[in-house]
This record gives sequence, structure tokens and C-alpha cells, in this order.
Amino acid sequence: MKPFQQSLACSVAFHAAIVGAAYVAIPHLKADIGPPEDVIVVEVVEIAEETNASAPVSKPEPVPEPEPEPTPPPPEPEPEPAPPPPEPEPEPAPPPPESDFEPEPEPEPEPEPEPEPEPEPEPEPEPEPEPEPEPGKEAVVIPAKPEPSVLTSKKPKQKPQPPDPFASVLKTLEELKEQASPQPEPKEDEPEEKKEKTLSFDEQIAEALKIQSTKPADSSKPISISVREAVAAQLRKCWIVPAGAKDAQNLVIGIRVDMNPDATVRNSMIMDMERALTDNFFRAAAESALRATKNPQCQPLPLPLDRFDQWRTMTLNFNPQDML
Amino acid sequence: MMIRLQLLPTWKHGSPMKFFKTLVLLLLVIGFSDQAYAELKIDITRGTVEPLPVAVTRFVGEGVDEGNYGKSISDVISADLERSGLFRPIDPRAFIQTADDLNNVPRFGDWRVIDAQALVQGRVALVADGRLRVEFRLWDVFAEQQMIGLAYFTVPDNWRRVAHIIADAIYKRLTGEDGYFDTRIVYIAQQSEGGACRGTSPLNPFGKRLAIMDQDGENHRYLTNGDSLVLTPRFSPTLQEIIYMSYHGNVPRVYIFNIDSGYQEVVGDFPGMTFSPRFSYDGETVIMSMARDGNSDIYTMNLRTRETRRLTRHSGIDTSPSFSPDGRFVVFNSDRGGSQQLYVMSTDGGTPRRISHSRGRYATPVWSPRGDLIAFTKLQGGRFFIGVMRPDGTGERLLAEDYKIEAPTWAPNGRVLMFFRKNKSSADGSGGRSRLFTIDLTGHNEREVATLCDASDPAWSPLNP
Repeated sequence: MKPFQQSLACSVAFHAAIVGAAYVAIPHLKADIGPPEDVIVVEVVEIAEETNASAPVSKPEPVPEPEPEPTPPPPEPEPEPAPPPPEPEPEPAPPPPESDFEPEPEPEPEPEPEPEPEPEPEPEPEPEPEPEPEPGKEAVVIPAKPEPSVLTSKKPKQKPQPPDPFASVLKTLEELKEQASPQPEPKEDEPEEKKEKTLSFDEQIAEALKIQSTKPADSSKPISISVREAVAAQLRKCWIVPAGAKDAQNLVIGIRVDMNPDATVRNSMIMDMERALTDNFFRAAAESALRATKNPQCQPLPLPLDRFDQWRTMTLNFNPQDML
Repeated sequence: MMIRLQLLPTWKHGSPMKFFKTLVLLLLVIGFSDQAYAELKIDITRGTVEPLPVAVTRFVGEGVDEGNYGKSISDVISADLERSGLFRPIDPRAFIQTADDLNNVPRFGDWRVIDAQALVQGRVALVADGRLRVEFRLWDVFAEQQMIGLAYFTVPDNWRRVAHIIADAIYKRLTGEDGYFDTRIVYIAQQSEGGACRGTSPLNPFGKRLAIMDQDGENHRYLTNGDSLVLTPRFSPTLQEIIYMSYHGNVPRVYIFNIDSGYQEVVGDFPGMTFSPRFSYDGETVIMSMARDGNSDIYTMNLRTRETRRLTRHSGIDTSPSFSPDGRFVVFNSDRGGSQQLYVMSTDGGTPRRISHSRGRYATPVWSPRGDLIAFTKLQGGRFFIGVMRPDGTGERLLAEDYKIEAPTWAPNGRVLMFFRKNKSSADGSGGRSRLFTIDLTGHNEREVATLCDASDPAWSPLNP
């Protein structure tokens, strides 16, 4: 009997070990693994202790650019026009604009999670027929006001800029639940900065650079992430993305840029010329990125002037992934 | 309608010397930059979604006639581009360099100052044989390069079409996708509140007539006289033909109508009532529903061989079929699962797969010409929506909503939808107008297409041949 008990014990222990190992090593066997979370891609970059950007020589004017758009930079944490929400609560309920839609009292209670909340971040439910550049026989007149363009809305005080640009390039009337989470993402790493909405991101960057500027720049350090982010933020404003295009989310456009010492772009070119010559859509998209780098409104770039060596040439990768 | 096309040579800008200098500098830069640091890489993962500022200058011409044609043509081009929502034509009053002064290479600085990123210039001339020669050039203002230059010959009456063709060329060059301006719309015109379009036949009291017009509402005309009721017209993707359902002789049947000849014929010899027809994208096959003994199923008919085939066999009501662009699949709506939903099946047969899963009822699915999306009408909570989803049912987005909106139809490039919207009548019976609208895939650019009478059931043509 003893040998049997022994082997039984052995067997039990062995099986327990296997089950235990499986539990640890094959996590998907666990029942309560929950829904897969969206993958958050984090770029690993070197971050210097302090920014090594140099004096604010070219700094003072990253924002006041006399552009048509009042520079509410897209990357803003909460691009929401609604200022109140103090808590990051992604509640779809608050949006006021809904209501007056339902003309007839729907017998339905409210189970519809979809059309009701009308989470439309942008203030334009219906673009309204409006100006209607109706081409008459011969008397056609180009709309006197070029401004209104696409995104006309009833609200008179709308900015010339598209309504809440980045919450959704592709509008949907449905509740944008998913959006609630991805949106704050870029923010996550600096949660308390959300509070001060008065400063735009660019301004904050400019501010940060100014503060540091009393220290002599250390040209041995690599260009910091904040500088790169500031450059990206500036170029964003000048890049008109191919919205609505097929498979736009898979676009990656590499642009090689040669810089002048004053941080203006001397020359820029499409890196994958081969594809640009054979693929009309890629060429058009690549040219849109090229125009962003050549647009005088987005120059000079907010780069530390004493580190010219490090940004004499740059590779800019344009990819609308965060918008679609 | 003959239009001849000619490629214009590129006007070069800059000298070889400048190019050489640039090259040397570039080489120097590459040589020097190979230092201690890896090249700086920056990712730009967002941009703005605004229309591209474009300057469309007046097309110039020698004589008065040419000048008038030129003005009209550039106005139509400008209006086309503006309506697409992708471009913002700049007010010509802001132009610094005048159209007449644009004889040679533009002064790009003058255009940069007014924020133009693209510049369109053109010229109109009446040539010896009485034809009109229209040429245009599209310039990239920042790159200071010509992007495209073309010339067209046509009869003067055809100027509007030439303008649309040029707008398409500009659209294609700047977006990389085909345009849709040189297209037409067929739709059902009917009596409006004022009675302007009232019918005369007792069989068709609302005067529902087949009408056709350019994509921008111009060149409107009626195709049928209103003697019989006409519904659900669809354009052939390849020919100047329209398929629709008509109550001719009080029997609902599917007919094909040739726009050029005005000839109309019934499609197939079916024992039951046939309805909701559509062409396949190669134009060779027709797909439709046939109702018999209270049940509707999907049938196809090859227009050459006249061979018919039954695709679905189910006690549910299967209607509104639409082919995928490659002809391998069909999407339709059916109440076989209890409520009206969208199903996709292979044209070879097999079991249909349900693709719509959220609440509400779905109808009139239409497969996009570029294949990536299916547009539909959705009814939920007493409201109508126009939406799109991928063919596997994912990515549903609702683009427009109203008391009653219906019948989406795709522009041939698959980026814009047209549909009709009917207002609710007010208590005194007024209102209730039915009108046509377009909306682009971003959902941000909705426009009305003005029509004289009430309009419904629009169908977008392919690019004109």
C-alpha cells in the first residue's frame, strides 16, 4: 500500500504542479480575464533631466502666429468646447445640444444608447444648405465669403476652424463611447495639467522653454521629447489630412527635411518617391505633408537654435493614425 | 459631345544652376550631418481637417465671348471644388496677381501671401473651326511647381461639362482619387406643395416622373411624362441606361430605360411583381426582388443571356439587394431573423450572414463603388438615419439623421452619398417637402442639391463617358 500511496501522492503533486504552472503560464485559461483592453502604444524616448533647449531666440512667437485659426491647438487635452467638466468622467450625458431633436414624444423610454446622447463634440448638427454657390447660367458668383467652407454651422460664433477637429475626423451621430477613452490618452502622463486650460499646449511648451532658457544649453544632450512634441504640434496645424480617403489610417508618409540655421525649412522631399510615382493617392497624401513642411505659417520650427547640428536634417513621419 | 484632350508641357521653374547648388549643399549637409547624433525623427500623427485653400483664377480669353466662357468655366470649377468640402476657393477679390497678368509662371509669393496652397489658371480660345479650346494649369504654390496642365477641345455649348471635367482633374490630382463632378443624377420628381409639378394622370396623381440633371442641379430635364408611377431608379455603371420599377399598366415591373434613345423595356418575364432592381458594377447583370404568394426572394438576371437565377430561398422577406463591386457578394435586407437586418451572401449561393447587429431596423443597403463600405438607411426609435458600415458589419457610423431620410446612393468615387430628406408636415398640412442632399464620408459636409419640384430616390451616375 505504501508504494501506492507514495505514487498517488506523487501523482497528485505532479498534477497540481502542472495545473499550477498552467494557471500561471497560460493566463487565458482564467475565466475572469475580462475584455481585452485597447493597446496603448508608448514610445520610449530618452528624456533629459531638464530640457536642453537653448535661449528663446526664436521662441516668443510660436503661438501668436497670425493664422486664420485662433490656435486652439488640436492636441489639447480636452478639445471639448464645454469648459465645465472638472472630472475626466467620459459621461456622454452632459452635451446640451441634444434635446430639441425629438419632435414627437417617442414611446420608447430611453434604452437607445445610440442616437440619443448626441455626443457630437462639434457644434454643427446640420450643416444647413446655406450659401449655396449655385452656379447659375452665366451669372455664377463665387461665394463672397470664402471662410464658411465645409463646416458651416448654425452657431454664428463658430471658429473658422473645423469643429472639434480631432475628436472625430469621421463624424458619427452615434454615441462615441470609444472616443471617451482614447481622447484623454495623450494627456494621461500629466494629469494635473488638465486644470489649466488657459494655456494652450504650445504656450505651455513655450513657457517651459522660456523658464529653462536662463541656463546655458548643453549641446551634448539629445533633442528632448518636449522639443519634438512642440515641432510636431506646430506641423499639425499645417497638415491638412486626407480625411475620408480609403485606408487613410494605413498611411505613413516619410518626409526628409533640410533645415536652415534659423529653423526654417530649406528643402523637403518625399522619401518614398518610388511609391509616389506609381500610387496617385500616396502621391497626393505625401504632397499634403510636403505642403505642411513648406507652409510659411508653420515656420520657423520651435527648435533650439544652438543645436543646429542635431536637426540640420530631420525625418518627419506623417501618419493620421490618431485621427481616424 | 466630343471632347479632345491634350497634355500641356510643364513650365519649368528655376534654373539648372540652382539645382546644382542645391545638390552640392545637400551633399555637404549629408556629409556633415553624419556626426555623433542619430538623425532627428519626429512623428506627426495628427493634422487638421480643413479644406485646402485654393485660388481659382478667371480663365482668360482674347475676345468678349472667350472672356465670358472663361469666367463661367472658372466659376463652375470653383463651385464644384467648394461643394466637395475638400477645398476652399479664395475670394478672387483677395488676389494680388491678376488673371491677365498670369501669362507665364505665377508670382508664387503673391499667392502665398493670401494663403493659397494651390492655384488654378486657365485660358479659353475659339479656334478656327468654331470649337472652344480650354486649357488649365494647376500649380503647387509652396513647391512652385506645375502639378498638371491639360487642354480640351469641344463645342462651345459644352463649356459646362468641360468645367466639370477640369474640376475632376484638379480633384484627382490633389486627392489622388477620382472626382465625381462630371456626373448626373436621376431621381423621382413629384408634386411639391405649390403644385408646380402636379401630375395630370389619374394613375399618377402626384406626378412622379423620372428626371435627370447634372450633379450640381443644372441641365435638368424629365425623362418620363408622368403617365405612370415610377420608383427606385438606378443608373447603369457602364451605359446610359436606367433601371427602375414602374406601375406601367398598373402592373409593377422592373424596366430598363435608355437615356439617349428614350426606349424602355421590361426586364425579364417573371410571374410575380419585381422590384428594387440594381445593376451589377460591370453592368451585365441585374439583381432584384420578386414577390410571389406573399414571399419575396432575390433573383439575378444576366442581361445578355437573359438567364435568371434565384439567390435566396427563405420564407422571410428578402429585398433591396446590391452587388459588391467585384460581383462576388450581395448585400440585402431581410426580416428572416425577426427584424429587418442586413445580410451578405456569396453570389454563388450559400448561407447569408447577418452583418447588422445593433438595435433598430436596416434597409436599402448599397455597396460602395470602392468596396470598403456599405451605406444603408436605419430606422430606430422613430427616427431615420443614413449610415455606413464595413462589409463585415464593423465600424458602423451614422452620418445623417431626420424625421425621414432614405435611399443613399454613392458618388462614383465612393466618397460622397446622396439621399433624400422629407420634412414632417405641420399640423395645417403645409411643409412635408422632399429634397435631395449630399454628405461626404467624414459626415461634416452636408449640402442640399436644389430641385424645382419635390425630389426623392436619387441615383448617381458613373462619370460621364
